[in-house]
Amino acid sequence: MRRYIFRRLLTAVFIILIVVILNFTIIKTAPGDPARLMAGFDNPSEELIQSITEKYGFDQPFYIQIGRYFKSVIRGDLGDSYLYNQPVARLIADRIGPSLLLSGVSIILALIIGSLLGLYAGKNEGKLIDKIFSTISYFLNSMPSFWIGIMLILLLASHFKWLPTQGMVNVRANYTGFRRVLDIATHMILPVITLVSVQIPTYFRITKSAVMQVMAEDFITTLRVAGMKEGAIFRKYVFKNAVLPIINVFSINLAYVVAGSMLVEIVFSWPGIGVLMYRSIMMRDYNVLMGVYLLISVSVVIVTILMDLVNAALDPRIRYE
Amino acid sequence: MFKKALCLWLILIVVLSTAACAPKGGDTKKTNDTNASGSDAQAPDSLKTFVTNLSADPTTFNPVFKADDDGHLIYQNVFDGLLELNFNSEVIPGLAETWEASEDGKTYTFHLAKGIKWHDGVAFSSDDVKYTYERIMTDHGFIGETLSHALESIECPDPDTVVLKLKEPDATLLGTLAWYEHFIIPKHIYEKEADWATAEAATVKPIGTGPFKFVSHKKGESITLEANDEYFKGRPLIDRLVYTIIPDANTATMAFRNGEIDLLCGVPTAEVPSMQSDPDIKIGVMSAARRYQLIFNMENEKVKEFAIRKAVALGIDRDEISVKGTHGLQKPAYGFYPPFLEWAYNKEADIGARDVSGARKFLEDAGFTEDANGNYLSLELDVFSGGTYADCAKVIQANLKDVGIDLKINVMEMAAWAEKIDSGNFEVAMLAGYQGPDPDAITKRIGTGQVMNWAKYSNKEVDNLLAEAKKLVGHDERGALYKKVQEILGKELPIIPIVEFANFYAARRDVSGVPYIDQVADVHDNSYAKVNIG
Repeated sequence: MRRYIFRRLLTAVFIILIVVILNFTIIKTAPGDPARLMAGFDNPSEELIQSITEKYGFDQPFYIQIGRYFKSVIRGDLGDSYLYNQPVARLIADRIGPSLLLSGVSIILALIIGSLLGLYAGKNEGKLIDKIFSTISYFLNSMPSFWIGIMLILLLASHFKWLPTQGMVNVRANYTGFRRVLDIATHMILPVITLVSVQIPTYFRITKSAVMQVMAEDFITTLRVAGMKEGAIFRKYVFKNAVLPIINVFSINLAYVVAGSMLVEIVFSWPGIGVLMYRSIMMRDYNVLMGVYLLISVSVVIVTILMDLVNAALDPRIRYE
Repeated sequence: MFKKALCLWLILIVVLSTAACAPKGGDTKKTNDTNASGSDAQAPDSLKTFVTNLSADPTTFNPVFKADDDGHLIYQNVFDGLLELNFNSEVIPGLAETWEASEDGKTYTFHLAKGIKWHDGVAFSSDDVKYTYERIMTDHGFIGETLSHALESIECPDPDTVVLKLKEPDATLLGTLAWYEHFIIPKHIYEKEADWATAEAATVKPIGTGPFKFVSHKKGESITLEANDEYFKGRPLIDRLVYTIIPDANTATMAFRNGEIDLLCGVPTAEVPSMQSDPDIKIGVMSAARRYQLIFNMENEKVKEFAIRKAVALGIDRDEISVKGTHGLQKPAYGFYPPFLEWAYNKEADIGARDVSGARKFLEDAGFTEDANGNYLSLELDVFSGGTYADCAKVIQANLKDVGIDLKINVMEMAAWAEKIDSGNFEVAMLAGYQGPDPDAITKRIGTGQVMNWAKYSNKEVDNLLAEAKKLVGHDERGALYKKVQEILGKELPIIPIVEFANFYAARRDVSGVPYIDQVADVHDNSYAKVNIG
């Protein structure tokens, strides 16, 4: 087991190393002069651009620049944002909480609702309820998340005025304590519904097909013949076997918990990593982009390792060697 | 087992949500800070809070370091300039109450208002003005070059007086000092900082003299300011000013309609007609001194050819662009100066109405022949996303099809567009841009080697006329020279005006004192010092 974890960690470090090199190379070869960005638009003076170029070493050879970047990343310094002239790590740290909150709650809710619906539809395959769920699932699957978001705002916020249209808090009221918690929860409803809606179909389909597959196995028929009740068969055997594919899908979604909801964050003005990433792309704030990509890569690698271990623990067919 | 699992999940969600939602350490500190300063002594709900929108976090809180449109909206409420510009691009007093020029026009004396304090309680003085302008020049701030060219020395005979000595008479000085990013920064804060871009006052907490004090910045979420009780022009009428950050203009519009924000800056053009007819909403427009125009790259082999520029100028239908590209909200622009600069505007130099056959004749006379598709030539037009640029470009494309010009449109995000235009690798581009408060502003766009002369236009006569006009004082004399410049531009067409610029503001009916909506002329154009609710 230890050797297995060690090997996985070694691979992870290697992957992150490759990701950093690729990110740096792609971004540095993209057109655009970061010194001009840092100096601001509307033609700043050449002296200012020159002094920024020298300060940050943009005129140094590629290998020196990447070497410096590596050194600073190891120290936990992701460089300065070209746009904000502030440390990238600080910009990310300020926004990671809201992103984790939104994506985290959505992923868990989508897992619960999607797989429960999938279990139910799988159990009742071919019946009306299955057809209804499947139709809704296809419907949701075919809609882009930002569109669902806008429609929800129009209906529930603009028309009925039940919920706020955007943001994470009511900036006018400036609540504190438990009222703040309630305020955030209220502001989360629409973006969470949006994110959950687009994730449900995946869990629904995977669970339903897993259930149908297990239900068709010979041992289920044997259990039925032996007189075991349907409910007991479902709980003891079908559910247990359907869990593994659900966990796999969950792990893939979990890996994108940091920055997977960019469009929804923009539509709802959610103060998270997504909005930061969007602006960085628009304004070519490459240091911030490299920082966010690094964060995503690290989170994907960590979640993948964790899920491999969970899978290995749950599925006796997987061995550590 | 099912029920147990479900219960566990639900408990987990509730616990996670509550833990994540609880005020963070930083927030708690901020709350304590504000309590300590006494600003939150009342219950939050009883404070008169005015909420407006920003499209992004400001890139800096240093108001003189780099151009930042979002930041500018905040600077106007936190800082003051020596002079300021109102919504109508007129120069009004700022920190300087009065000023006078010497007879030779080379010395300006500014008398500062008395009793002004920085937000941290330190007294403001003429030293701060001297320090700011000198630092702008030495640290190459955005407007550093303009000041360096104009100023010979800055003197402070006493704490309430600033004397600016000029290298030569400059009729544009007052306009320049009142313009974008000439706010005065605190010497006692910035003199300790070697790098004014990364100073705490530039990244975390700005300190100004303006009508509102900075309270907090929650990144990506909001910026909160509170009324400055000791503001030298009188305390603002609202207690708290909150900028909520909404990147998407449509979401901002829905938030406004939902009552979450009181003032919507940047109403999407498509929403303007319905808001205009809504009795609960009042609308204002920022237009003065800005307009959409096409610029030709005068160093590009193709568009160097005058016939092409003339054919484009004659081929476009400004009325149609206005109606179809801007819902009729941006009026057609035929002349080279915006209408508010009446004394410098030469109507004779206007481009005139559409003339398709005239345009085709120009191309044929220049030797262009039609290809199998009926086109004489093709052109590329670069526009950036946002505003109504792309919509206007589509109408221009259809207009020019009639003339036999196949126009390809490249819509780019702002940074890519700016870089392409800056590098000179383009044929035709569309942009707006400020052309005020003084008609001399056009120098930056058409003067040889000037910073915003992306057309790379160069005409010695124009340069001389502009330089001469800057030194004169009277409107009649100066106006005559600017009119001559427009005449030349009309003949050479390095730029072609399309439609007036329009940025719409919307507020609820019970809000008053918003400069563009309520025509408040004695404050900076985006200052909310006179705003009131109810």
